[in-house]
Order: sequence, then C-alpha cells, then structure tokens
Amino acid sequence: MPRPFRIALLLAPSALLMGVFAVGLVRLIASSMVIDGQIDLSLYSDILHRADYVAMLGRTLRIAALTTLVSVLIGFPTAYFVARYRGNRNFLLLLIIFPWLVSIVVRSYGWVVILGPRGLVNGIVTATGLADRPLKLMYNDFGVILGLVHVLLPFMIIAILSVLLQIPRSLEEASMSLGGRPAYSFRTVVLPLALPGVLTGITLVYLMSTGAIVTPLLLGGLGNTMIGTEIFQEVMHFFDYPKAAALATVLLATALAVVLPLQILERHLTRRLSDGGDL
Amino acid sequence: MPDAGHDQAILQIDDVIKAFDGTHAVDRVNLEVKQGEFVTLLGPSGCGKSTLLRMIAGFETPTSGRILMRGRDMSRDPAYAREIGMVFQNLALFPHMNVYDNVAFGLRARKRTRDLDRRTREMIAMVGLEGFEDRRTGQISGGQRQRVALARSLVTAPDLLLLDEPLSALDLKLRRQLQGELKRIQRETGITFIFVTHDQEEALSMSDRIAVMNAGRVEQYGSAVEVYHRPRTEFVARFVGETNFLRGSVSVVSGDRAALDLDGTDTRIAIPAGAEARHCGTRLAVSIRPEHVRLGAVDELMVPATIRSHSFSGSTITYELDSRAGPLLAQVPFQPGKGHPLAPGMAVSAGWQDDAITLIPA
Repeated sequence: MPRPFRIALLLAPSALLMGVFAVGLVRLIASSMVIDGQIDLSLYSDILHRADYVAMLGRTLRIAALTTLVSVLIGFPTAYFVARYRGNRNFLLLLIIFPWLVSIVVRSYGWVVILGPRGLVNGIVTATGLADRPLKLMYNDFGVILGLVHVLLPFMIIAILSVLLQIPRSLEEASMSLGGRPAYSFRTVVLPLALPGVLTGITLVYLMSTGAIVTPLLLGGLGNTMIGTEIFQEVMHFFDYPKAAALATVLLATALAVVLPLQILERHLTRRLSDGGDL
Repeated sequence: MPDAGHDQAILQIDDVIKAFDGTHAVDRVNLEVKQGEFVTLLGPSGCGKSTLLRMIAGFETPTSGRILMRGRDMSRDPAYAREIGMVFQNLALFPHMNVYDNVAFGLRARKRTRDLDRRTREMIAMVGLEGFEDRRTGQISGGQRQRVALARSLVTAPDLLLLDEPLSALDLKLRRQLQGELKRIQRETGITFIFVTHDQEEALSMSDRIAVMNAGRVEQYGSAVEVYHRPRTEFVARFVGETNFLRGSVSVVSGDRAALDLDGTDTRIAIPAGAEARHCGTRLAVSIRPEHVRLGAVDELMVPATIRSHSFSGSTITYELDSRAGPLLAQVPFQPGKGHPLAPGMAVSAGWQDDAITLIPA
C-alpha cells in the first residue's frame, strides 16, 4: 500500500471524529447567535440581564471550584498512599474505580438515602439526640459538592497517581539523606514533580463538575440549580434549543477561561521536567 | 602510642538482622569501620549488601541488632537526622533542579545558608563541573551526572558516605576514571566511604577493607590482599577472582607435610600440615589461583595434565587443562618471542608452590 494512502487511512477515523465534533460545536454556537439569518446576541444579553442566571453561573463556578479543591485535598493523599503502597497496588486501584461500575443516577440516589431528611445520617443523629431536628445535608451546595466529589474523585486520584508512580522513591530518600525532613522533602521534591498531574486532575474535575447534570438535579435544591442542569431542562422540558445553546456557549467560555491557563502552565512544567531528563 | 582519634570505629554494626517476609535478607552481620576508611561491601545481587547499606542510611530499620555511629546507637534515627551522605544506584538527581540547586540542596535542607554559595561552588569545583551550574540534569553526560550526585552528597560534609553501585551503569573506561576520582576525593576529604559493588575487580582496586557478603552474611572481612590471597570460605575463593578449587581428605600427616587425596580421582597432592591439616581423614579444600599454577614438561611437576584450550588476554595466557586432579586453570605471563602458546592436546605437568595454597575447611 502506498505510504500517503496508509497515512490517510490512519487519519480518517480521527478526522471523522474531530470533524463531527467541530461541526457540532460550530452549529451549537451558531444556533445561539444566528436568529432568522441575522447575527443576534439578544439571547446572551437576556442571560446576562437575568439575575437568577448570573447567580446560577456564579454558583456553578463556585461549586465546581469547591468540588475541585476538595478532590485535590482528598485525592492527593490517597494517590500518594497508593503510590507508596508496598502490597497489591492493583487491588487499591480497583477499590478506587469501583464506584464507576455503578450508574451515576444510582450513586446519587444512594446519597439521598444517606443524607435525606429521613436518611441514615439524620436517623442516627435524631435517634441519639445529637440534634432535635433533621440536619439539612442535601438540597443545598453541601449535598451537591459531596455528590460531585464522590463521582469525580477517581479522576483526580488517577491523574495524580500517574505522575507519582513515575517519581522514584529514591528521590525522596535522597532528600532525606541530605537532611530534608518529610515535610521539606514533600514540598521541595514530591510536590513540584507531581504538579503536572495535579493540574491535569484539576482540569478534569473542574470541567466535569461545571457540566454536571444528574448530581445537582438529585442532590441540589430547586432553588440552586447548576448550569448543566439548566441546559438539560431547556432542552428536555422547554425545547428551547437556542437558549440552551447560548447557556452551553457561556459554560464553554467560562470553562476555557480557567482551563486554558492551567493547560499552558502544565505544558510549561512538563517541558521543564523533560529537560531534566529521566526521573 | 596508638592514634586513638584515627583508629576509632566510626561505624559499628552489631548482630544486625533484617527479615523480609520471614527470610533474612541480612543475617547476623557484624562489621566495624574505622574513621577515614574505604570499605567495600562485595557480593552477588541479592546477597544483602544493599539492604545493609539502606539500614546504615536509615531507609530500613534492623529487625534486630544495633547500628552505632561513634558509639551511639542510631538504628532507629530517621535518615534526615543522620550525618550520612548517600550516592544512589540510579543517582536520584532532582530532575526539576539545575546542577547548582542539586548540589546546594543539602545545605538548604539543613538550613546552613551562611556560606551556602561558597560551599556549593567549592563542591562543584572539586568534581570538575565549573561552568555547568545552570545546566539541567538531563543536559549533561552520564559521567557528569555521577559527579553531581557525588558533589551533592558531600556538600554537607557527612561523617560517612554510602555509595550504592554508583558506577555500574557506566562503560568500562569512564568507570576506571571515576574510580580513580572517587579515591582521590576520599583521600582529599578524609570522609569514610562505604561502597557497594558486585564487581570484584572494582572492590580489590579501591578498598582498604572488603566485606564479602553472601546470602545475608559476611563471609570474610579483610584487606583486599587478605581476601584475595587468603580466602576463608569456598564462596570467597570463587567469587573474588578465579580459582582452582580442589576437595579431598587428608590421608597422611608427617611433620610439617601432609597429603590430600582428591575426591573423584586417584590423585594425591602435597600440602603443608598445620592447623587445618592436622589429622588424617579431615575434609579439606585447596584453593590455588590460576596465576600460581606453573606448567612444566611431562613428569617435571606434580600433576600430569593435557592442554585443552588457551585464551590470550594481552599480558597473560590462560590455559584450561585436563589433569589427573580434574580440570585446572593456569595463567602464565605472555613473553613475546618465546615461541607459540602450548597447543591443545599437548601433554604437560602442573604444579605450584606451598605458599600458593590456601586451605579451606570443607
């Protein structure tokens, strides 16, 4: 087979995929801006002038940021533990990705059972007299963040783990033999080398939580929806595609504003490290 | 009067055992290292030498026994609290730092920032890397990386420097060169070195003392000359250099002479009588280095033999012999102009002098 033909054949599937994706994206953005053949940004000004939409956008970004933060705080120590575990690491990995075997709807309903007004936690709390009224553990930001962290944490752990596994134990030992206490060794050796993985994890978790639909729907209250849920409802309940498209474009723009700098930083760090040679 | 300051043991290892999953990786090791010595732990892979080194460094804790530094038990001190430097097998340079920051790391970690710059540059100069301060560790050669690792581990002027097969990844020529530099740096700094290797030539050429290890135990601890010429066990005789190893039973003892009947042959060889060969029937092994085996005309020497093959290595020729005592190796100096090597199939005789014989209880 001639070489150009082979290359074309290899490129075809990804070209097809990216083509479809690009066309979809362009049509999505176009459908929010072109009304009756005219460029018309009224949908955007409508969105920006509605206080409830602006609040929803702010809440989406806040919940996504908090979800990401909590995921880093839980995910880094977990990944570190797994990376340094001397026993069967694959078993730990299996435990971490186990939740993925269960549908996200079922998992979110699981939290309803645990956190609801008559749920497990409130049952215990009221029965033991720790509180006289049920605590409000869901239908608020807390419930949504908890649910999102539960769903997205494995992505963070795996992103961080993949870089930690490439840091030889001897680097930390070298630091210790030079007088570096554990905290110093962590700060000056492990953390800088793990940063690209942390940034990848942040990007993944942040993006997925800004677009979350099911978790906010089930665990969030009626008064505090997130933008993903709103888009879902515009499409499925009101059939207002242009508005849904406008909301999706706003979501895309805010996501890019956060993710692009992270990606650039990550690329920069990775390049610096690859100059550093083999770990 | 003995110089107490110089002969004092800087490191003492007392009955140290390290068990992993029930097997003893290090099994009752006793060693003592003097101030300023260059000591090598020599052994095949899996003999426990690296585990022993890691316990001295503080990365592993002994299952039992003690490790004392200047008389103080430090077996349970964390690694960062010990004044011990280490050069790792994979070097473990920090890939996100340049040469300068790698070398300065120990001073920053120990908060010795007062003369940090002077001290760091001094170390970089000592290993001959001036001008490379700003290079990243991936932008320099293997030998230079080696030097960075060495400078980094010496910058804090540790009491003891541990080296875990740091030269094993280098080609022979660079290896020889760095061996020489290591010795020079050790002399200049006066720091005690403990060097781990599986390369017996490296061990012989560099060390003041060698601890030959096998299966978690120290088989022999002594100077290079002792270990080579007076091996105390079969393992040491075979591992350190090549040797002819013959087993048998003492059959005659008469005055200061004795005779050994070799196993599996009808050959009897003469050996000096002594502590090892005092009684008839005692099982003994004889170790004779190939370079001490002499070759002569038929019936001139003790053991009849035929040449099987020969190999030329520049200054010497090594013959493989089939002899009445079993297969033997003989290494003789090559003298140009003194005719051709002995041809395979030729009948000769082999012999050796008494002081070439090392008797090992078998």
